[in-house]
Amino acid sequence: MTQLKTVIKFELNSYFKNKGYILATIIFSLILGVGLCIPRFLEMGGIIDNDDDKKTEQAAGNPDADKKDDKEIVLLYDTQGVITDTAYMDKKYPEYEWKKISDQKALEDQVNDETAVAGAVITGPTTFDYVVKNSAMYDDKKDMITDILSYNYRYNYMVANKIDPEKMETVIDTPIVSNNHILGKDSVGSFGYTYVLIFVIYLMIILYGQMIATSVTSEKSNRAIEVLVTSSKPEYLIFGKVIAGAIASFLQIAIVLGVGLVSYNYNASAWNGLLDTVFEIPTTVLIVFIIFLVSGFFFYSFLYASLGALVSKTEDISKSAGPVMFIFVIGFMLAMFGLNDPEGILVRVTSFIPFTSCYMMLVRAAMGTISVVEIIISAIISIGSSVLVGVIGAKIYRLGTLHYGNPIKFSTALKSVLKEKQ
Amino acid sequence: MLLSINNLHKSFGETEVLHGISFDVQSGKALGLLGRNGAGKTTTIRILMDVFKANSGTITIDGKPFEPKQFQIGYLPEERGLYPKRTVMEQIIYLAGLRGVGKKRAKENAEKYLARLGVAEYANKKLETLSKGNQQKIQLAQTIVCNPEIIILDEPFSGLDPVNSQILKDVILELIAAGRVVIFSSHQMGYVEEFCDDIVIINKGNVVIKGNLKEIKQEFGKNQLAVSAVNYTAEELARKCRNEFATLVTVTEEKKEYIIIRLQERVTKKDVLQAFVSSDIDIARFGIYEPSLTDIFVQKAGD
Repeated sequence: MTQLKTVIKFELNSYFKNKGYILATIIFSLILGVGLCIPRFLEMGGIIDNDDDKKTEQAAGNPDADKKDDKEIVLLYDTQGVITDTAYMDKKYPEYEWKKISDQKALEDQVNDETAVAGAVITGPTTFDYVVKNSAMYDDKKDMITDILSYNYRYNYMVANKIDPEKMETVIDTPIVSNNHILGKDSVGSFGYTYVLIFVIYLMIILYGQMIATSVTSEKSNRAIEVLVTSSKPEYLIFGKVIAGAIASFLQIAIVLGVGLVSYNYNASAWNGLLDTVFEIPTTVLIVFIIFLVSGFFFYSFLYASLGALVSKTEDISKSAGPVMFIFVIGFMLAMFGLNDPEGILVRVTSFIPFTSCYMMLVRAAMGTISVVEIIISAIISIGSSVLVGVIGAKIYRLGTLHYGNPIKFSTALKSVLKEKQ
Repeated sequence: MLLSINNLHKSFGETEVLHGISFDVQSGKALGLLGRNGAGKTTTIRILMDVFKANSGTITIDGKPFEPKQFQIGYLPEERGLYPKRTVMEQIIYLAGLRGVGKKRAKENAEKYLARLGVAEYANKKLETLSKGNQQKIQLAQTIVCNPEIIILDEPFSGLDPVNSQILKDVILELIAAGRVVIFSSHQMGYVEEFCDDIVIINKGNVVIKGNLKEIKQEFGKNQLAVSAVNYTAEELARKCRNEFATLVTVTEEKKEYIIIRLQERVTKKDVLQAFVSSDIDIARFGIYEPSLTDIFVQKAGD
């Protein structure tokens, strides 16, 4: 055990003295810490719904609130005189200046030279041609014009049929009030932190897995392994590396998230609770996240360490680790898919498979329903698999580390360690 | 201490690479472990260091089963390398720590050996900043930092200039004199002859010769003479011996400057000398042939 401690200490020192590690920790902490301070200094009313600001603005009677000059123009060429109630659009969509025009070419010219953001050639009571310079992914103006035409169509119908349009509109617009009584999980509320935590798992495993594999291969390429395997048991060397990698990564993520949490709490009033769903993670979810992050991290790290031992040059690692990386990325994509269907059979099954349980258990615990027994069973499978991969990994490590030259296939190495008593 | 390797067999898959290796190493004497590339030297060393398990055979020390963990073993591998990005002292302490030496003692020992090897000034430098020769000395320092009872040196002189070789030679001689068990593997036969009292030559997984180097040389040189003439080249002299003195000697080897002849049965050196004197041969050299280790190696391990 003293040897294991020695290896962990040495490997940890490698991380703590590594400029990349230090810089990454500082940069990520700064990005998160400073990023969360932005609403304190910059107006982000478009993103953050700040009631206090609105009240202050209203109380002051801001004369510029409806300033026409600030508004973007939408042109309407009403060829049939369909729009009879022009007040509706100004009232419902005051953020735009709705301007009638009597010439299609002029409309197109103004849209083209960006005097107007869009335009519509209304060809009938229920038809129009939408004119825009560049079609954007999200454009709400077309929907607004559709709504305006729809309203006018209803309005004209009601007038023609002697129905009071105002009364009818009041009836139509009567708000329906509803309250949510969620007996299980609130998927909308938990989506934010689940999404973030899945990314944390993905980044930690993929970054540190690669680093561990590189560390093993470097010892082969610089031949330090020759002295190491004759000075210590391979089990201690591989376990030491992986444990050190785990400590370094957890410490790094704790620092970054800690800075984020402190910064968010400090700026909580400026955010008006917008990110509460990301930071207020229930304890159960947090426990499941930690258990499966740790077991998943060890499972993949042992695999990466074994794969690192099979090659002699660091540039060959990606070739060797490709299949594992592929499985890991597939797992990540399944988890992203699982966010929309946390109760689905695919999520349930994959939450017990060690390759994917680190993601899927989190998805189920955060967004679906899961029993404690299921968590325990999956945790036992995951931890057991990690230990097994660790033990086999140590044997592959010993076999691979003293083999130079062409990379050994993982399947060949596995067969050898299972078959041969070295 | 007497370290005995007894009848080691080792297979990788279906291929047996060691076919019963046996030899002894006495403390205070260095053993030259020789063999061509791929002969089985490194596998034998790795079995000795418990990196591989032998399929059969035993290793004993003073007659008791050898447990590598109970001894400090210093190993200088042929495939050398340490951590290029770490400081010299840091990695020596780490490797000593893996062998159970505490940080304080490891630091003291490291300082002592670095000073002895003339590289104390590089203790806090990164290894990659040192020259190849100095890196080699650091490697030797890490080998002996734990004051090993058993030292295995695989090609310790490769890449060293004559001055550094001399320093290294002195340190190795000190270790031998201090009564350590030293196994010395090298293809540079000159160094082996200089350090080793005993040798073992392994060829294709078999021990082809072992024992005291002097005795082996004597045995090899037995009934053989090294002869040269003023008036004949080695080639001409060899031809003359084959044509005119075949009843007395056989030519075993032609060197550049002299030939090696073996006495026929019941023929004495005096008989040959008299025959040569009676002929027109103007003798330049006439003496007992003592083969070099290279000669023995080539003869025993050559194709």
